Amino acid sequence: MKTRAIKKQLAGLACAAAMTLSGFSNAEMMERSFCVFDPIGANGPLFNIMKTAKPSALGWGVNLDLRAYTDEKVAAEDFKAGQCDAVLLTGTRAREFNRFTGTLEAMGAIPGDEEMNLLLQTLNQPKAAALLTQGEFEVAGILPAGAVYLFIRDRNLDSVEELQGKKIATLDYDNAALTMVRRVGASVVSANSSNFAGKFNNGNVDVAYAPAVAYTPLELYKGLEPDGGVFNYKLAQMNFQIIIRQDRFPEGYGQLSREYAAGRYEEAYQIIRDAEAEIKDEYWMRPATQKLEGYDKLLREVRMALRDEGAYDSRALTLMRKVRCKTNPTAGECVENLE
Amino acid sequence: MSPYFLRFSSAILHWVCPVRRWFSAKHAAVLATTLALAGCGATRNVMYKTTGDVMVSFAQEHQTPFVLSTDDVSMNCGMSEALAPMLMSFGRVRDEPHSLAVMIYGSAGMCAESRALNEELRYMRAIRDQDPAEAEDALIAQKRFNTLAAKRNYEAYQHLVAQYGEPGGACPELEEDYDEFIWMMGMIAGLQALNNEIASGAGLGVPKNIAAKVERSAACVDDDKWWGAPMAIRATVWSMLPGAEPKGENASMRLAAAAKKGERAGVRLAHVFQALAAYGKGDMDAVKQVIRAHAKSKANKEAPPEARLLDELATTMLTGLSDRMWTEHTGHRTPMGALGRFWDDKKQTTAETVDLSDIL
Repeated sequence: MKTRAIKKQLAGLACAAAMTLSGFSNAEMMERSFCVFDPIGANGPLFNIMKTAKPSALGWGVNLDLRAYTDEKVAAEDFKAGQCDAVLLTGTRAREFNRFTGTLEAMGAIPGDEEMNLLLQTLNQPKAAALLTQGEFEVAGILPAGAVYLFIRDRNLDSVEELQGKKIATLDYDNAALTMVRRVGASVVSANSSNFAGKFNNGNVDVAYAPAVAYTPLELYKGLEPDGGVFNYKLAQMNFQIIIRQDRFPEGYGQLSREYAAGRYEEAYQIIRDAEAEIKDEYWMRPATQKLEGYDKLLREVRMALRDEGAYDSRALTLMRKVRCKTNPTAGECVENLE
Repeated sequence: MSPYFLRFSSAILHWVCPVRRWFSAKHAAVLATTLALAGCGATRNVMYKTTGDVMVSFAQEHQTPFVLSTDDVSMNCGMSEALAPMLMSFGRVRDEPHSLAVMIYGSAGMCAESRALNEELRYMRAIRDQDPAEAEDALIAQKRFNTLAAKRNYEAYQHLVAQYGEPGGACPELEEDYDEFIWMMGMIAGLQALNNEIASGAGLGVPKNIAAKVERSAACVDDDKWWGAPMAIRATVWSMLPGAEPKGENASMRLAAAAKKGERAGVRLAHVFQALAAYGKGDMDAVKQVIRAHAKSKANKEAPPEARLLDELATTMLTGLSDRMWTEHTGHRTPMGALGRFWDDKKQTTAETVDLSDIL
């Protein structure tokens, strides 16, 4: 009798071990909704990338039900209201769910791809998980979308001082952008991702800012003709973030998802490189190094002001300063340590 | 058609150049003169060019209208894949047959899309069965076919550009109905190339501004003549490309009007665009409504003989969308005869019965 009981226990253990090794049993599979913002919808590139993640998520015990949103605001609201268990948003929109990662789009904080990569890899370490969790929300992946550039209708306008009084299409839900535009003395023309290109191409604004991936699809070259230019200075690094409600997913899901996202970086960088190469060489405006240093300083002041106002997370700014100092250790800011 | 032409042209060449056959003095004189003037290679080239001219003209004047009057989408697909290299090879001895290439590469693109759809359905079933390895494999296969479809559709679009100039600016001179038709098909191939490229996840170099250019260029052809399809194309771009919708316009209303136009004509291509726009927005109820309307209209009105293939193509594409939805919810594609019906439809209880209460 005793032997039979032990055999039964062993069989149970073997069964459990087999289930663990083979992944998750059907009974354990979680059905979870994932609201994906893609400006093009279910046929768009972001939705497609998230669809590609489904088999991996299945292996982690989650069957994702993907829903396309063409309006980012609605996606964020549905997520907040509990109608989505996970959401994909731009870094700026994600700020309300995680101030730390929401600060990664801070102006002038990441000067290039090398620094962006270093930053993302740093955040993918398991020990960074604490920074990626805020209340019930966890950032389960960050995907780079490329640098944001200034698109200018008149290339004679080639310094920040000359932006004074000029109309800039500004995302009105982004406090940081509003602060920056006011700081340089320009006037805010309220815009969103659907209408900024039209305003720029029609001449309703003098300046717009966007990542290179928007250039060809939205035909921003039309606004650049005949005398415009693209200011070759990386204003910020746009990114997309996957935010999950931690209690709705298995333990460790966030880390697995972040590692999956990390596996897609090269694909994302290639898309960005291709998009930047589509901007004709003659459109690029290359400011002098001396001026660039001035802009770096100006943007740093704005970042610190926004940090003091509570819009930016000070830990994120410190981390990004460390990243900059790793690639450029002789910079003055590496001694000043103001961020 | 093609084997006869090949045999015919081959026979002529063997007759003229190897000079192994018996031929008359008159033939010999002509041949000798020709060879003396131009040499055997040149004669071959003349023959090749003539054959190419005949082939291409025949394909435009007879093959295209004939194919459009058939309703076998699958056979058209096979024909396009098989004939494309042969027809395009005539571009070596005469002008490239660009307008024909728009049709033939566009159709070949649809073959690859159809295979991609089958892989997508396999992916969906694997997700339902909670089989990650199978799902991943199906996804990879789907991407491969989408890559192929993107290349073919982009090739079709490039031939459109070569024939009529870059879309997006002033309208080209589209002299005949045939040119208008090719223009419209080229627009569709361009949009499909973009969609396929996105679905493939590969950077194939399809220009991302095709959608914006197509939106303007679809207006170059008469909307009434082409069953509402041109406006449907434009409105679909409005609904997908941020900020593309002009002020005062409403994509959904335009799509609904285009769909009605297509229904009245019996060439219901506009339904496809209406459904794709709704699918892109994730509005599955609207997609269902379009498929229902298509099935109902199809049952009530036959397609005109000259455009049966296009109407059938619309049905095939909508069946593909329906299959996606059915598979996601039930694990299998649309059952036979069930296009326009869905797994969660309430069962009709209108069947007449006899009261059984007094005999029970």
